Amino acid sequence: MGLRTYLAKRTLNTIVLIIFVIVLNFVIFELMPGTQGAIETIASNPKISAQHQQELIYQEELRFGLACGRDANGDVIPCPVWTQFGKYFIAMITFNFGDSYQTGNPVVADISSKLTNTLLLLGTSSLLAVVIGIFLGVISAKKRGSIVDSAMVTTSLTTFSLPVFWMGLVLILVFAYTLHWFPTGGVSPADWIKPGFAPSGLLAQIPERLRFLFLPALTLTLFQYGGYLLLTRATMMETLSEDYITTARAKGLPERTVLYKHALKNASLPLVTAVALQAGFLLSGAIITETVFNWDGLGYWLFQAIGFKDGPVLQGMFFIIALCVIFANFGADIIYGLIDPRIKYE
Amino acid sequence: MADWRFNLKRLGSFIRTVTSSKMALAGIMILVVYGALAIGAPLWSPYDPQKDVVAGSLAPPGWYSYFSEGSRLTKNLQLDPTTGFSSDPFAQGWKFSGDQGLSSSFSPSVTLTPGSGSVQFSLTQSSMGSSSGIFEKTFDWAFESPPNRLAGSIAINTPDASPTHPVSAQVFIERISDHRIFPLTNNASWANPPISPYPFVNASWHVPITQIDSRTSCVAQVNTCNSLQTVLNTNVDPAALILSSSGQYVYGVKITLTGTGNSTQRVFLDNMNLRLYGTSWGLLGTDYTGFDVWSQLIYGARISLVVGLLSAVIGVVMGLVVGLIAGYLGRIVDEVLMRFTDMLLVIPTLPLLIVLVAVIGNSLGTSRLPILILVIGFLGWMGFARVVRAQVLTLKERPFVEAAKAAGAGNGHITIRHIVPNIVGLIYVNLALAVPGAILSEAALSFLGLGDVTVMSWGRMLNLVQTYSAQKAWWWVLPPGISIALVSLAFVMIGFSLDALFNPKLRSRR
Repeated sequence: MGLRTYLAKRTLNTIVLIIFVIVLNFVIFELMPGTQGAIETIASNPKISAQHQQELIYQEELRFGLACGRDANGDVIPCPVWTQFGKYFIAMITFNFGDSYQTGNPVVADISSKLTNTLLLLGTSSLLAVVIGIFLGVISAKKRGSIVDSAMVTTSLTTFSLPVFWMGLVLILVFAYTLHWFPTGGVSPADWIKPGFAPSGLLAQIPERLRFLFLPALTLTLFQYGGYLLLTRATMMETLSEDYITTARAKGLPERTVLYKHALKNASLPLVTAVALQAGFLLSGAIITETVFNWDGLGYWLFQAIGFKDGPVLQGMFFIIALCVIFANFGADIIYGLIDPRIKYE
Repeated sequence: MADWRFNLKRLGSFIRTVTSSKMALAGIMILVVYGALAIGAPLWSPYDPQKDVVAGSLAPPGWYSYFSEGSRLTKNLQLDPTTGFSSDPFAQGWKFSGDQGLSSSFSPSVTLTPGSGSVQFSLTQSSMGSSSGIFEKTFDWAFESPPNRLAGSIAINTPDASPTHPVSAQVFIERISDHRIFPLTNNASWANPPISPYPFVNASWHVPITQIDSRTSCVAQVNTCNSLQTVLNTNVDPAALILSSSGQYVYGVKITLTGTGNSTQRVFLDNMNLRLYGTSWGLLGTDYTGFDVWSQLIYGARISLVVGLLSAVIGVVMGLVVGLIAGYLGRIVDEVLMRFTDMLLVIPTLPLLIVLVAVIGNSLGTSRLPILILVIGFLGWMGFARVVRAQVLTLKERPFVEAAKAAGAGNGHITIRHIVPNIVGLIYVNLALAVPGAILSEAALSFLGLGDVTVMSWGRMLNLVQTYSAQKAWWWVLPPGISIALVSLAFVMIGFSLDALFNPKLRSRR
C-alpha cells in the first residue's frame, strides 16, 4: 500500500470519527433525559418575560430539530428522530451551536474571543514541557541507573500522576500566598479593565502579563513534561544500544554530537507523534488548570458553563474539543507517514 | 470437602507470594490505613463533615500552636458542656444576685430542652414596682488573642407577664480587667406570656429570644434580634472587641420583673450558654465554614475508595465481556466492536465525562454518586477490552481449546472454563491499575463542581478550597491531594507487583 492509499484511509477514518462524535453529541444532548430540562433553564431566568421564554425555547428546539414547526393551535409539533438528527447534523457541521444562555452571544463568537488566552497558555506550557522533557530525558538515558536518573524518573512519575488541580492549588499556596511572587489567578491585573489603568501598548504589558501566565503555565508544564521525559528516556535507551551509536563513538565523535545528532534524531520519531497525541490529555489538563487559576480561556469558560447549565456552550465546546483531538490524531498519522521512511502502511 | 481446603491453601500461598513483594506490601499497608479510616470514620471523628461547626472559620490544626507562627492561636471555649441546664447551675459556677424579694432556683420540671431543667426567678407576692437581678457565670479566657467567633444563646419564658407588668432581659459580657460591660442584646421586653405556644416540655417559650452571633446578622426572629455589631454600635469584629486580651470575663443576663403586689411573678430561663470558637482546631483544622477537615478527609476516603473500586469493577467487567466477544467470535463482530472501541479511545475522556454528568446529572435527584460511578465505569473499559481481545486471539489457537472443541464443548463452555481462567491474572492487574484513574476522574469531576454535594469527597474538598479562594489554608489543601496521590500509588504498586507475579518473564527481567 502506498502513501496515497494510506492518507486516503486515514482521511476516511477521520470523517467516520467526526460523524461518530456528532452522533454521540446527539445522543447525549438530544436523546438523554434532561435535554429538555437544560433547554428550559433559560425559562428560569427571571429577566426574560414568560412569552419571550416560550419563544426562546421554541427557537432552540427548532434549531436542534426537537420541534418541526407549530400546528394550527400553536402547539409545537415534535420531529421524528431522523429529521431531528439531520437538522442536528447540519447545525454541528456548520458550527451553529446556538447562543450561550449566559452571555446571549453565539457560542462560536464567544469561543473565538477566548481562544487567544487558551492558546497562549497551552502553547507556552507545551513548548516548555517538550523542551524540558526531551532535554532531561536525554540526560536520564545517558546516565541510566545512576541516582540522577532514578531521581528524574521518580519526580516525573510523581508530577505525571498527581491530580493537576491539586498541583495548581499547591503552587498558589506556595508562590502566591506564602512567597507573594506571583498573583493567585486571572489573566491580567484586575484594575486593567478600568480605562487608563492598563499600560498602553502590548510591549509595556508583557512583564505584568508574564507574571500572571507563570503559575498556570508552570502547572501545565509539570503536568506534561513527565510523559515526554519517560518517552524520550525509553526511546533513547533503545537507540543508544544500536550499532551505529557504537560506530559514532568509535569514530571519536564528541559525546554531545553522538547524543543529540545521532541518537536523538532517530529517537525523536515517537516523540513527534506523542506531542500530537497529547492533545486530548492536554485539553483535559487545560480545563482544570484554567479553572484553578481563573484563567479566562476556553477551559474556564466550560467550567462556568457547567455551573450555569449552559447547554449550547457545553455541546459546542465538547464538539470542538473532540474535533481538535481527532485532527491532532490525523496530523500525527500524516506526520508519521511522511517523516519515517521505514514505516509500512497497512 | 477437600476442594475448599485446597482452594484455601492456594489462596494462602497466593497471599504469601503477593506480600513477599515489598512494593505490594507497601501498597497494601497504605490501603489498609485508608480502608480503616474510611470504614471506621465515625469512630475516628464524632463530627459530621458537613453539619457540625466545630471551631472558627479556617482554623489551623491544634498542634500548629506549638510552632512560633501559631503561638497566638486560640482554642474553643464553651461555658457549659450542654446547651440546657442538665443539672443545678448554681453548683456549676452560676451565681445570682438580685433585689429584695427576687429569688432564683433550679426548676427541673420546666424546660425547653427535654431531659434538662431551667432556672426559675420568682418575685414574691408582696413586691411592688420593678426589681432586677443578675444571673451570671465567670469564665477564664486564657489566650492573648480573641476568638474567631462568639455565639451565645438564651431562651426565656414569661408565664406571668402582662402589659402592666412586663419582664425584660438583657444579655451581656463583662470584662473584669477594666469592668467594661458589653451588651449582647438590646434590652428586650415582654408584656405577655408567649403568644404562639411551642410544643415544648411543660411550657411555651419565647424561642429563641435571641441567637447571639458575632458572625451573622441575626435571623429575623423577634423584635429584639439585631446583629451584634448594631447592638454594640461598632464596626469592628465584636469577638475581637470584647475578648481583646486574656483574663476573667463574666457572661450574664440582667432580668427585670415588675411586681403586682398580689401574685408571684415568675420567669424561666433555659439554654443559656456561650460558645467561643477558637482559631485552632483538632488534627487538621477547619474549613471555611468551620467544619472539621479531619472528618472531611476520612469521610472523603469512603467516597473516593467506593467510587474508585466500583467504577474499576464496572470498567473491567465491561472490558472483559467486550474483549471476550470480539476476540472469540472474531470476523465482523470483532471488526465492529474494535472500531467502536477505537473511536471511544480517541475521544478525550474528561470532556466526555463532564458533558455526560452535566446532562444526566441534571435530570436526576440530589445524589449524583451512582451516576458518577456508572459513567466513570462505562468510560473505562476500552483499553482493557483491547488487551483481553489480544489475549483471546492467541489463546483460542492453543491446542487445549482445540481439544475442548473436538470434545464437543460449546462456545460458552470454552470461554468460561478454558479462556477466562487463563486471563485471571490480567483481570486482577487491570483491576488494580484501573482504580487510580477512576479516583482521579471522580476527584476532577468533583473539583469542577459536578460531584455529589450531599457527600464529602476529596475532590469536593478541593472544590470548596477553590470556591472560597482559601488556598492559603494549607491544612485544608494538602491532605486531600496527598491522600489521592497515596491511594493511587498504592493501587499502582499492587498492580505492578501482581503483574510481575503473573508474568514470570517480567519478573526475571526486573
